[in-house]
This record gives sequence, structure tokens and C-alpha cells, in this order.
Amino acid sequence: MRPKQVFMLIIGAVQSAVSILGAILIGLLLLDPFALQIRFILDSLFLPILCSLIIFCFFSAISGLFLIHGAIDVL
Amino acid sequence: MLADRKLGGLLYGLKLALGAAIGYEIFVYLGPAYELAGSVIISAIIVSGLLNLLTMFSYCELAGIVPKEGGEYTYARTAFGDIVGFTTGCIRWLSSVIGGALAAGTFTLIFLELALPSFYQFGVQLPTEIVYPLIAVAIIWSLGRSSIRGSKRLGLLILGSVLIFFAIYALSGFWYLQREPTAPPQVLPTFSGMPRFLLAIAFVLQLFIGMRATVARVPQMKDPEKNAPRTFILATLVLLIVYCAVVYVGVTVVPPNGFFLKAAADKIFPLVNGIPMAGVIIAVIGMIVCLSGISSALMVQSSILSGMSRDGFLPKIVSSTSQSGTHRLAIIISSLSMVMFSVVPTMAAYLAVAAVLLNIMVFMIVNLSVISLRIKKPHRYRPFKAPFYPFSPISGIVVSLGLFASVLWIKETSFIDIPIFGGLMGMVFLSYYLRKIGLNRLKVATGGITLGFGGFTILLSYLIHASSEWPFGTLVPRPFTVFALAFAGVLSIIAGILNVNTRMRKNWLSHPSPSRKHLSHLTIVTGILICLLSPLSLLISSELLSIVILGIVGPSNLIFGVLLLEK
Repeated sequence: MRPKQVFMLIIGAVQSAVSILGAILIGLLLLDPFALQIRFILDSLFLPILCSLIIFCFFSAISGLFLIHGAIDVL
Repeated sequence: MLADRKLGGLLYGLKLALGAAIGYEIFVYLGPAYELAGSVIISAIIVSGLLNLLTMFSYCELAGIVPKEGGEYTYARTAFGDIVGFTTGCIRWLSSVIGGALAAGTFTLIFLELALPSFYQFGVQLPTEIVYPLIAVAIIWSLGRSSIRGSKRLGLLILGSVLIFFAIYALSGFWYLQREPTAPPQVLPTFSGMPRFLLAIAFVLQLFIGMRATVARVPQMKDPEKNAPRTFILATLVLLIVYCAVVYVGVTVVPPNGFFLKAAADKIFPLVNGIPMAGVIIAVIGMIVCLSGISSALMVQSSILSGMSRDGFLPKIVSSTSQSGTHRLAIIISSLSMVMFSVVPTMAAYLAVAAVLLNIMVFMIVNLSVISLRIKKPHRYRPFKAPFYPFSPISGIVVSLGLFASVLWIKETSFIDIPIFGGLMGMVFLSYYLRKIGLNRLKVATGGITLGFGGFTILLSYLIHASSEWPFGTLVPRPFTVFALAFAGVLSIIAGILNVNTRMRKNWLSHPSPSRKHLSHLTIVTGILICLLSPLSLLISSELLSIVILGIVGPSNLIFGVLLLEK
């Protein structure tokens, strides 16, 4: 395995893991009753922002998986 | 060729058809149908049996024309092309996944109902919210493993024991009714009760629908032109007699309830033949047919997935076979999907309605496929032709449409099912579209998106660090957020560059394609999303920095997308 593949594999794995973790954390923030209070404080902007961040996390996770796939595919 | 090896005649077909039709559906759908429609459920059983028979003829014709793996997916793809075929395959696969999950859930519920009192006697308190998913997962896992090994199913034994028990049930019931005369139930629907009657038909149709698993074997039957219709007519007649007799006894003896067959058995059997544990016997039979249902669902799903893999919609590895000749990976994917649906007991009601809707849709597509292939390929050799064409497929489509409408109109759970169903269909079309775009192009697109997202995240991290306000208080610690966002941003930028800067991109750019345009649109849309997200900065920092976000990150993503479009 070449160094670039190892690098791609590590970055891909960390990227996917961080993205999935981020999506879960944002999801928990959305579900938490205390966060709900914050949502009222910040008015209606809070919810779409968090939802958009979850979508970004989704794309980011896919990007990480593609990197893993790319690294394995070359082997 | 499998199709050249003749496996058996009428009796063989009958055994297969009855074995496939008698399943967990009796325990899932009969009770709710009785609660909905009352005693007119008997008429609903007759109508649904006839509707099923008509559609089975369509299935037989299609199986003769396209004797390949994949079932409804292969038929629809031959008749209407890739997109309809892929969608049908996904719908059928999903309905089978839901069916398998329901079977696992029903098994677990029956098991817990039987086992829990014994545990309570010994002072053991079992938390059902934990035990339920554990049992469901264990059942699916063990059956998935046995399917991978290609172990023989005890189909004939199950079928024989269920039929014998139902015969005893019906005879005991009629004897009971002679000893304890009761007013005969109302079996014909009234005009006002028609919507509920239609809904009951949609529910009890599931009791016959399993018969379609037999259709794949029709080309291998001896003399299929004669034996296939005879098989389905006879199987439908046997099922109609058994179901009508058993349900007649049940609805005469007990009022509407979810598990009326067991309640009626508990009332009838001790009086007639002194069997005190009839309810337990029914429960055990229910568990056996549930196990058989999960096993059949796994086989159907692996057949569809390997068919889709054969045609390039899924990776080739999905259709690879193990030493025992089974599709190992397809079965693993199917088992995991069923586990996902089966772990939440409260989902069962929604899943049951969703399975009904999906199955009715598949019925419609199959009937449409018959009409389409008769028009497109009129001279193609057909080992079996659907009788009464075009009335049989057209009536199948019309009745299915009526049933579909009635489910959506009456059943309250369908209000939740509609958005779920819409979302799932959206995912199906999206995955088809992405598959057609190709993996290499997707890598470039997601690379661009991630790159933009990384830049945005780093700026966001800086904004939070520099801002004097922090609206989340102690709920989310600020230093942690700053560090996490910066880390995620750097990671995203590296991943984005790596994804975009590959040899594949060069290959792609040297082989332009019209779908590149759509890809670039995806990246542009992300840029727009980032621009829309930038008001976040107004909440937490000064106007200058929000302008930085607006002015650099979002538009740069837009430019990246446009550059991809132009190259």
C-alpha cells in the first residue's frame, strides 16, 4: 500500500466518523428539550441551520466513504 | 438450463403455492380486518382471493416470457425499461423487507405473550423494550445464517401441520355452533360500509399474496400451459375454503378483536374436544409460520438484489454466490435491513399498512407489464397466456387502484406512511440517478461540496472564537465547539481536495458526458446553500465577518461548480 493510499484511507475513515458523530450530536441537540428552549430564543432560524448542517454532515460522510473506496479500489 | 429441467406437475405446484401463501399474514392482517369490517370480512376474503387469482395469471405469463432471477423487477424492466424496473425492484424488495420485519415482530410478540407469564411466576421481570428487539434480531440473524448455508426448509411439514390444525379448528367450530346455536353473521357488505369493506379486502389480500413466490417455478413445471392455471385455481379454492371456514367460526363465536382466532379457539376447543391449550397451539403455529415467512422473505430479497446486481444497478459482488449456491452478501444486506425495521415494536402498525400499499403497487405494475408486453412483443413465445386477456389484467389494475385509494382514505396511519413512502421513493429515484451518473463523477461532486463545507466550517470556527456572545451557554462548551469545527473543517478540505484531485477526474474530463452538467449543478446548489447558511454569522458575530462568509465561501463553491460545468 502506497503512502497516498494510507493517507486517503485514514482521512476517509476519520472524515466519515467525524461527520456521522457530528450529525448525531446535532440531531441530539435538536431533540433535547433544553435545546428546544434555545431554539425559541434564536427564533425560527435555529432549526433550518441545524438541519442544513446535518445535510452537510451527510455529504461529508459520503465524501469520506468515497476516499476509503478510492484507497481500497487502487489496491 | 433450469427451465429445461421439469420439476413436477399439479401436485408439486399446489404444494408450492399453498406453502408460499400460508404465512404470518394470517396473524397480522386478519384481526385488524375483522375489527375494521366486522363479519363482512368473509366476503372480503372471497373477493381478494379472486383478485389474487387474476393477478397470478398475469404473473404466470410474465414468468414464462422472462424466466430469469429477479421476479417483478425483471418483468417490469423487460416491459418498461430501466427506471420502472429499478423502482419496481426497490418497491418489491422494500415490501419484502417490511414483510420479514413484521414476521419477526409477530413471532416476538407471540413468544413474549406465551413466555412472559412463566417468567413472572418465577419472579423474573423482563424489560420488554429490550427483550423485543433482541429476540427479533436473534431470529433474523439465525434464519439469515441458515439461508446462507442453504439449509432445506421444512415447508411441507409446516404446511401439513397448519392445514390439519385449521381443518380441526373449523370442524370443531361447526360442531360447537350446532351445540350452541348462534345467529349467523352478516356476510354481505352494505353500501355505507363499502369503504371499510375495500380496506378489509386490501388487508386480507395479503393472505393470498405469498402465492406469487411460486410463479418463478412455473416454467419448470410439467406442461405449464395446463398445470399453472390449475395449480393457482386449486390453491385459491383450498385457501378460500380454509380461510372462510376458520374465519366464519371465529366471527360467529367472538366479537371483533385483534387476535380473534385464538380467542375463539380458547372458547371452542375445551367444550368440543377437551383440548385446554388450543390458544397455545395456535400461538405455536403462528410462531412457526412467522419463521417460514422470514425465511421466504430472505429468499425473495436475495433474488431481487442479485437480479439488480446482474443488470448493473448494484455492485457485482452482491450477486456473488457462496459454496452452497446462495447469495451470501444479498442475504446479509436483507437481514440487516429487516433488523432495522423490526427493532421498534411501535412501528408494526405503520409497517403493516406500508406493506399493503407496496404490495398493491406491485400488483398494478405486474398487470401493466402483461399489457405492455402483449402490445410490444405480440409474437414472442409464451408457455402460458393469461386467460380472459385484456379483462383480467385491466380488472386487476382497476381493483388495485380502488384498494390503494381506500387504504389512503380510511387508514389513519397512512397519513404518516405517505411522507415516509414519498421519502423512500425519492431515495429510490435519487439512487437510480446517482447510479447512472457514475461513481467517478459523484466523487468529484462530493469533493467539491466537502471542500466548500470545509472552508465554511473553518470560518465558522473562527467566528465563534472571535465573537463575544455564545447563545448555547454551558449546554455546548465554546472551546470544544471551536476546536471541533476547526478540526472538521481541515479534514473536510483535505478530503475534498483528495476526492476532486484524482486520476478519475482526468478520465472524466477527457470523456465528457451530459450528466456532468447535473453534477456541476449539485455543487452549485451547495454553494447557494452555504450562502443561505451565512445568516448564522449575523447571530454570533459582527457584520464584517458575515460579509466574509457571504463573499468568499458560498460564491467560491458556486464558481467551483460553474468551472466544472465549463471544463
